[in-house]
Amino acid sequence: MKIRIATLLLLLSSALWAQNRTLSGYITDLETGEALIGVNIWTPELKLGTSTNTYGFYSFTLPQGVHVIRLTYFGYESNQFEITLDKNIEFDFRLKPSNNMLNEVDVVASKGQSIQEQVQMSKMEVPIKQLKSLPAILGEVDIMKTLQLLPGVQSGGEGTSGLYVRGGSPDQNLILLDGVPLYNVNHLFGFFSVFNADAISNVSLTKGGFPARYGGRLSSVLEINMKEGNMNEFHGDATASIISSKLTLEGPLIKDKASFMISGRRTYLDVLARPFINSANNNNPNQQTSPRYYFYDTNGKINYKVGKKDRVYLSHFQGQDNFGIKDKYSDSTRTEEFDFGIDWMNSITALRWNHQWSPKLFSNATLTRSLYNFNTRAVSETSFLPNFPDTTGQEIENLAALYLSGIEDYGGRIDFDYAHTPLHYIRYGAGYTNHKFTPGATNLKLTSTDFNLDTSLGSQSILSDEFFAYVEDEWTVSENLKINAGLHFAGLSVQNETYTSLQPRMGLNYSLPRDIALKVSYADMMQFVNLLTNEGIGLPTDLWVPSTANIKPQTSRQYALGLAKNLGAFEVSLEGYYKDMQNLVSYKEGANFLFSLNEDWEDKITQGNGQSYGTELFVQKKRGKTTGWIGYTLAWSYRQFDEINDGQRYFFTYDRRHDFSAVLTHEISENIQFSGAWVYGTGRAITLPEYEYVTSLPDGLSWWQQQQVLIQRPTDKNSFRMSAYHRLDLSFSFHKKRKNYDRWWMISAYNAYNNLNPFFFETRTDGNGNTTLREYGLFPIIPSIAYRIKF
Amino acid sequence: MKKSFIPLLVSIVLFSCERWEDGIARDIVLPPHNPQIAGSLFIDSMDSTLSATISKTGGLFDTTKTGVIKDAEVKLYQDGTLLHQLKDFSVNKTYDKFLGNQIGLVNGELILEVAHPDFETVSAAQIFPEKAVFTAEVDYGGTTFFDETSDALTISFSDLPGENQHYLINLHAHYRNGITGQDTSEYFPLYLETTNQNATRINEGVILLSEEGVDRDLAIRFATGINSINYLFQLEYRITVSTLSEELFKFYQSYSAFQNAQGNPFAEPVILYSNMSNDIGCFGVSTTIRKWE
Repeated sequence: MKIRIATLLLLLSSALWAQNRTLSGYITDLETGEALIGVNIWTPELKLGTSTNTYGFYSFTLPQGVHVIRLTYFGYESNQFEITLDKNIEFDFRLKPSNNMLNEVDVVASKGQSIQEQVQMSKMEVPIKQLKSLPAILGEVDIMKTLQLLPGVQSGGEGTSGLYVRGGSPDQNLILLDGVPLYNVNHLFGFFSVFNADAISNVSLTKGGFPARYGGRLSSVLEINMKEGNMNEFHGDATASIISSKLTLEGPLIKDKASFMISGRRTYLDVLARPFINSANNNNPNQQTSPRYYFYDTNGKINYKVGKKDRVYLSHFQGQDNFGIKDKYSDSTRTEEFDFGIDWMNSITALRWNHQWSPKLFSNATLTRSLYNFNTRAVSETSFLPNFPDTTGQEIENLAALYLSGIEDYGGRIDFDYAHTPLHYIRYGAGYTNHKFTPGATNLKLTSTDFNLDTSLGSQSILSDEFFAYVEDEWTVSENLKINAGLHFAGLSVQNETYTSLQPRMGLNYSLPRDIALKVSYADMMQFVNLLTNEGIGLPTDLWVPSTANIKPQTSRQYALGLAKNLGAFEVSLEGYYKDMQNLVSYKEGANFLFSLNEDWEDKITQGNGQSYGTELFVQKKRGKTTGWIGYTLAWSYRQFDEINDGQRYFFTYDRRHDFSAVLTHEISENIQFSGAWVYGTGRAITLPEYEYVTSLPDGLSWWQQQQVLIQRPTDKNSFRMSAYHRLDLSFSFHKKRKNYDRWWMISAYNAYNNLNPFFFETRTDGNGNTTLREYGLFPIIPSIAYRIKF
Repeated sequence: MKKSFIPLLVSIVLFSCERWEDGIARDIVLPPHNPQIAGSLFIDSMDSTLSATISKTGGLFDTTKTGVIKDAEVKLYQDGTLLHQLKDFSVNKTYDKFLGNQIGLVNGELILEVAHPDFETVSAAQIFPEKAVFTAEVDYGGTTFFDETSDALTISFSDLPGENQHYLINLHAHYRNGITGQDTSEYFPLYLETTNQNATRINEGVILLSEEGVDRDLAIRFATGINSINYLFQLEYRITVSTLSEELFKFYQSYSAFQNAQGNPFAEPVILYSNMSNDIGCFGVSTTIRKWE
């Protein structure tokens, strides 16, 4: 009987929309011509709405007749108009940026886009303009550091860019730059991220309730889109700060048809330090030491409208860090040179083609390449001159060790958006990626007068094929109930083993009285890549490794329940979540990425489970002279591995009971802006050496009978807490409009009250044998100044 | 609002300057360590001397120091009856008991109990595992070892259903004069390397092989590093297989990880396995059998 009623309702629903017409097109910025993502299109009388997709396309099907349409988008002037839909209409809108994005605007107009209207929960969006007004560290606005200020998102510690979302690890975040996965987002050992805010147009982070179109990671999806480039005019944006400079240029290639954006950034610590290093070296001519460090990144994008229904985008990003030290010693008998270096680089390329098949059907096809390399090298060369004792002629000894790891991906995907009716917005698609992992191979070369060695040790490359398909429907069931339901199918073929998974996804929004939205979501996820990291250190020694025939894919189930409401200019949300994770990967006790040249990485790892749960409160104000947010998270996160901590459950190292952040931006005057951010987090959970004792050893371990050894015993895994983390950042921006350009002076202070936030600890033993535990901070107060011009 | 900025900033600057003097490091004060007793005793069926080490723990961040301790009562019970008491605090600073003969495979439950007037009494229980049932076969010149022709040795274990079996394998080469047959009386430990996924090399000549909870027949094959076909001396392989109790197996595993982590700042910390009632120290037993091939 129930099935019959449901079928009848479905038929009635279809009949109701049988005489419908579709309004479709693109919505762009009036001044730049760039696509606007997530613009809300809303009809008040039917209380129905939709929004533009990642490419600015919308499709809005309504019953034939006259309708009032409202367009609202943060930072832009709202539009309202009446339209007679007696046929399908294609219309491109251009929205005018608000003169002052911080002005109060009609909050009612944004109904439909408001937090209580969206089915999607656990999604955070920080408008790029708001993001750029937050405190800049060393003159650099950092997207990842800003995201760390959101509830449910934690930093890995001082100076790190990794995101720990709802008790997950950084490898569980799918970071997409123009749709291409990016594996390492760190510059300067994590102090900066690779994202240059000047080249970015949009940032959104999804922590849970994942729609079916997302897959491949357990904890979050971070989508970052590069600017498309101004279609109308040529513009530039340049910033010079204490340690780096950056320049962004954009403009039309063919007016209203093609545009470009190119952006570059480089540090000059190495250049600034050179005179001091040369001066130090002059004091000892025999010994020359040259440390080096720099990073750079470049972003580029071309956007071309092939016709009214087709657009092509080509985007590229490349970033590299180079750190090392070169030491040279020479005297009359020999010359010794030693060069040690670590470098890592990311490179991604995406070619995308949008096509509008009909007013209701839109597709995007993408071809991608992603490359990440992490290399460590040590090269030593000694030349013994003829007057060296026992040397008959010049003899040269070379030793080179090169440690290589990395990933190279080639992929393609196609996504369709089908706006069946305003009640059903259907998305479906499929994709394929070929991964080539080099999980850590060591190349050793040794040459001398009488010996030659050239060998490769460690892991060989692993190839795998990852594929997926999905379908999801955003269904407005009634005025009070919206559902997003879907299925994501994912698979991996590796080493003659195939893993597959059918992952149900569901999100629900039910309107309670007083305009309070009750949201519920469930997501089943699977992940085929793993990041191996030694918890004790924060260096980029992390190795990306695939799931293999022996290493099962990570999986998770996440349940979330929340309430959301708009209170005037404030958006308030309260969410609780529970996440259960299986087949997590960790190094075994005693294992590490170094000093095991002939050991397979699979021997060093073990798999286990994890749980995390918590509550997040988020209050955000996006409008007015004073904007910002307050976020608070109360959370627990555990891990359990049979081969770690004797199989007992323990706290994840980034388990953070309390995490609080307050972010404020205030316009002091028309040209002066102040911003501040304060963050507090419970100390990191770590393992400490605790006591020692003497034991004997059984046969096979002892070198002689009754051998006794001293054993240092650590605390239970992660049972000690480092000191709590708290920090205040402040920033002032002074703006002046010149004839041909705008300029800003930006003065900021990182860690303004100079709190010692622990980065690592050390045990120190004095001459009397007394041992103390010391924790070290990394960054004291760091004032900085930057100068920016925009033309 | 504007007026409040300047006092606020001045306060922050002053506060920041005051903290500057504290530097970038601070000492953490930890609660004092409460010393406990640590007992360890490992018995193999071929042992003719029992030797236990009893020490007290010493905190790493206070003045308590570790060291072996005197005046402990070290008793070994068999099914609740006192079997041996290890009394002598020898020059090796161990508690020993000289048996005269090999202890053999003791039936029933063995309990090690360590009592000391300054500490709470601790204990642990063990049951000797069954002897390994295995066959060994030498394939003379049947493989290579570092590109040289080498004998290959295959050891095949019979499964004991319902028991999680763990083995420790040692191999020695024993030579006799090829002409006179005179025994050289020397046993040379051989370097063992294997690709068997159930095996772990814990020292150059020692391999751990484990069922790891799955009932199955185990077999291991490795190159001996010797090509006995071309050898002037008569060669015998002495195969020593010890069946380990579950607890002793875990101790071997964790000590191997502990050794790997020593002095390496990048290594994950290791908690050495313990089965004593206070979670410090280990009592383990093994049953050994030898074969010559």
